[in-house]
Amino acid sequence: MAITVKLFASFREAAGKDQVCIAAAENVAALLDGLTKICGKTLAEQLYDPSGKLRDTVHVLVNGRGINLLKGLGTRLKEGDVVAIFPPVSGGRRLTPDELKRYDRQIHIHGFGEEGQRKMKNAHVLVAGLGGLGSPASTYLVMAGIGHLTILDQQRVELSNLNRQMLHWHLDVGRSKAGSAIEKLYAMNPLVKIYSRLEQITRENVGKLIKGADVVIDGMDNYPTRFLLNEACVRGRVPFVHGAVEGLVGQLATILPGKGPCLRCIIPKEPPHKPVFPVLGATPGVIGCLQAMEAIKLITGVGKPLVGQMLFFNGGDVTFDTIEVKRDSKCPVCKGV
Amino acid sequence: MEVTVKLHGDLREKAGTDTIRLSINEGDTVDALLIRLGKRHPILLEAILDPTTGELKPYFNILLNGRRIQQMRGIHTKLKHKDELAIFPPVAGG
Repeated sequence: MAITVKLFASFREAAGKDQVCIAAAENVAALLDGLTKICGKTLAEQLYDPSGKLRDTVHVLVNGRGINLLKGLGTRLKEGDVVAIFPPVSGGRRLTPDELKRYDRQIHIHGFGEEGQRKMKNAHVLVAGLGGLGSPASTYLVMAGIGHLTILDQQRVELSNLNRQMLHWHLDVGRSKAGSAIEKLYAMNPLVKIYSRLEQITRENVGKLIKGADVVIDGMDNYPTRFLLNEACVRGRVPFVHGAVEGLVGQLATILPGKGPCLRCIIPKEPPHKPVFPVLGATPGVIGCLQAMEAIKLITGVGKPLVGQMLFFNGGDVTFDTIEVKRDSKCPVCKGV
Repeated sequence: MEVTVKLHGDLREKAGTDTIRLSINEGDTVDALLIRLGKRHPILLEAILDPTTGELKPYFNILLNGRRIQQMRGIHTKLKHKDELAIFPPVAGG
């Protein structure tokens, strides 16, 4: 009977196998040494830092017990032992050294700190729509280390999208927006768990789609779907960050169900549908970034979200105006919430 | 007595300004103000009113101190000194 080594997650890909049998090893250090000789350089790089020290993010369990609770690398092994090795898992409460370094500049923001970053890691945001607004919003959420991101869009990339939908590039025309976006977002930050869904939002599925989300971001291009999201968020008490754009003008409001007006209180009737609306890419760039910022503020508790107010951005004369907006006591959506 | 009208979205471009101050009389309502506004900027009234019915376009938002006038007495809502009226056409794109 030899010693069985079980590899998990990215270590499996690095080794090209999920289980290795090692004939004999005196202790854990010798076992890992033998393992990297069999499995090659890629795994060795993931296990050890450049100075040859085992990375402290690598978890090693001997017969189900962490080696930190035993004798570390000196833990003795015998025939029949099972050693499990797995990488840090995103979504846990603790921040890994890599995460602390990656998010260092925002962790230093007053009031953010490691606690804010941990909240980010444990949060789940749904970005509904991967167009002009959803592209920058999901980009900044992923870069800021949101733990879970669900992106939702049923459309395919068209050539006329490329002036503003920055996650979709020239060669993506014809691909699904969800597929195109997830590829770029993963490349930006592989520590984030991203789910993509190729679905249309309907009255029937909207409740299910927002389930589990801590914040929902409005990346839609029409009011009927925005109203569906608004209603589902009010019902599920999920914060909803509304954004919309046209030309050089954009608007932003954060809906905190029960705390301020909902989207229907502010905009009760949809404006006439325009199949094609003029827009400069930088306009949803501004509003989409602000939507990501609102979501991050809500999650971390930093700053004051735009509740009970609506922001109007006008790129034409470079003004940001906020006006107060109040709840409608007779609102068919949020009355009584 | 004076009220301030703040224009948002493309109305600003149409009127060539973002803030309009208008004097009002005791007991004046929103419709009286809109007529006065229309005299100064006819293009604004064209944008706000439905040409077939002459009524306010239903999706057009007019907020009096943060509250939609439809939540109060619509165009018959009375105005007072230092009131602020915000007019915006919601945009839809994303």
